Amino acid sequence: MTIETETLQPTRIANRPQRRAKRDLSRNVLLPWLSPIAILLVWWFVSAAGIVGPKVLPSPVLVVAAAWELTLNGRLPQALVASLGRVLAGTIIGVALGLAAGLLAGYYRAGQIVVDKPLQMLRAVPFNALVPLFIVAFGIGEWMKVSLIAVGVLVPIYLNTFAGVRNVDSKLVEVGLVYRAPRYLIAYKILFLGALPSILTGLRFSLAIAWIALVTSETVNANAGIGYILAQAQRFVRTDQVFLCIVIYAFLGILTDYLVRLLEGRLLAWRNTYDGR
Amino acid sequence: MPEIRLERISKRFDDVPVLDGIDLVIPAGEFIAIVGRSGSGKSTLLRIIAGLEQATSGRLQSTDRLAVAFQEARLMPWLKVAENVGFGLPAKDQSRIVADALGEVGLAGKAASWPLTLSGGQAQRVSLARALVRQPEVLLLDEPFGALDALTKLEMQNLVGTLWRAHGWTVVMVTHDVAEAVRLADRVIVLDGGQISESVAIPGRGPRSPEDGHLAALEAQLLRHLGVPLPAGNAAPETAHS
Repeated sequence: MTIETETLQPTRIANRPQRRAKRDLSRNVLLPWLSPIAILLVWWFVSAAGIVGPKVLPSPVLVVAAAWELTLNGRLPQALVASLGRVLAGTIIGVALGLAAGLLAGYYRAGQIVVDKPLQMLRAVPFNALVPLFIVAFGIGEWMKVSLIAVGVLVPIYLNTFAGVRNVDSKLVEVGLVYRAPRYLIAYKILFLGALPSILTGLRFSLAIAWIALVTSETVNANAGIGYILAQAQRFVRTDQVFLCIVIYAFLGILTDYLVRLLEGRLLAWRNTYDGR
Repeated sequence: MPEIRLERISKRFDDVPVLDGIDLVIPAGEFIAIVGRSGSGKSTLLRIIAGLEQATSGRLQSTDRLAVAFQEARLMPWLKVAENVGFGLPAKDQSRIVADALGEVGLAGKAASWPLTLSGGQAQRVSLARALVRQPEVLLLDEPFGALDALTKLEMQNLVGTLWRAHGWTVVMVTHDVAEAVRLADRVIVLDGGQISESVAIPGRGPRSPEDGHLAALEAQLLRHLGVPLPAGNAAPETAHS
């Protein structure tokens, strides 16, 4: 009997990682989608049962049909390319400026004096209040839209970079000083990398704002983009298309958030943090 | 290799005197331990030698080629062990030099590990390796083993003593562990109220074995200087005064 248990044990141990991987897949990949699927089912039921009319709440089937129609006539792909291009350009500019300002203000007391107050004031201004100003400055073309997104993105990146740098343990900076490391090395390997968790949190906030800024800018004057389809759909009371645009915004938002999380997983692998139980 | 020379070094923090006219010459290659109670100014003295603090008055002659190991290992958690050790080194030959140093402290297999996965003793070894790769003339140790458990501490003391013998550094170690000071140092300085109150030479070379009978007597002598009352039965014989 003892022999039997001894031969059983190894296989049981060998099986365990596989079983755990399977459980992790269902827990981490499928479980979070349960509530969105439930919402979809409720939506479907409410519209199919006729509780709310199709002009207010079109059924999910109608929304999918609208997507199909707009894909076939080419408007949706064109809109996606235009919108994604604006968000990408605005985000890149905003992140670059926000990072530069945050590192400058974080590293140098003098930089903080120059940069911090104006950006704190900018933070207090709702960015869509800047639309009239930006129209005057940049016209109603692409630049106005990209700049508006860039400004929206800049603020959270700046705030989180600055806070992240100032949160780095001064004892680590002291190590850099003792070993006479050049400034760029202290700035990069100690302050920037140390601030990275905070910067990535800022990036997630920023991307959420980028999508909001996109909608605002595209409803001003556009002839392409998701916001343009949205404005047109509203004008012609195409609620199915309105819903489609909302769903697309939701998915793009989740997608960008997911990409930042992937980035966090890669860049912050060193962290030893509590993941919830 | 230059000596370290302190002349009338004083330090005040907001008019509170911390160091009061320290005169100290540390010959090249000597291992000196500075002991004292909390607030005696011993850490400040080390930070002044390291250049992390400016003396309020006095003259300091030191070297640029110094390395420091602190009580906390102070590793960047976002850099792998090898990157921490090689921090700020020129890229040329870096990986070989780093690998050699990690080998010397007995962590050859840990080059690609994250610091947060290391034990306290391992982290402290990495911090030593980071000092080693700079080929310093002077090694400053600020209570380097204070946070380690008793057994790891003994291992680390042996390691530091052995490395000191092999490399011939000048070592200045601040500690509140008198036994540690006596095991390792050539000379133990007692700091009290910002002044040097005693200097005791320890015969032989460190790292000394705990079996060494002289050590207990020296330890007792130093503890008396520090004002620690000893139980009557353990009164040490009057030997080994410097």
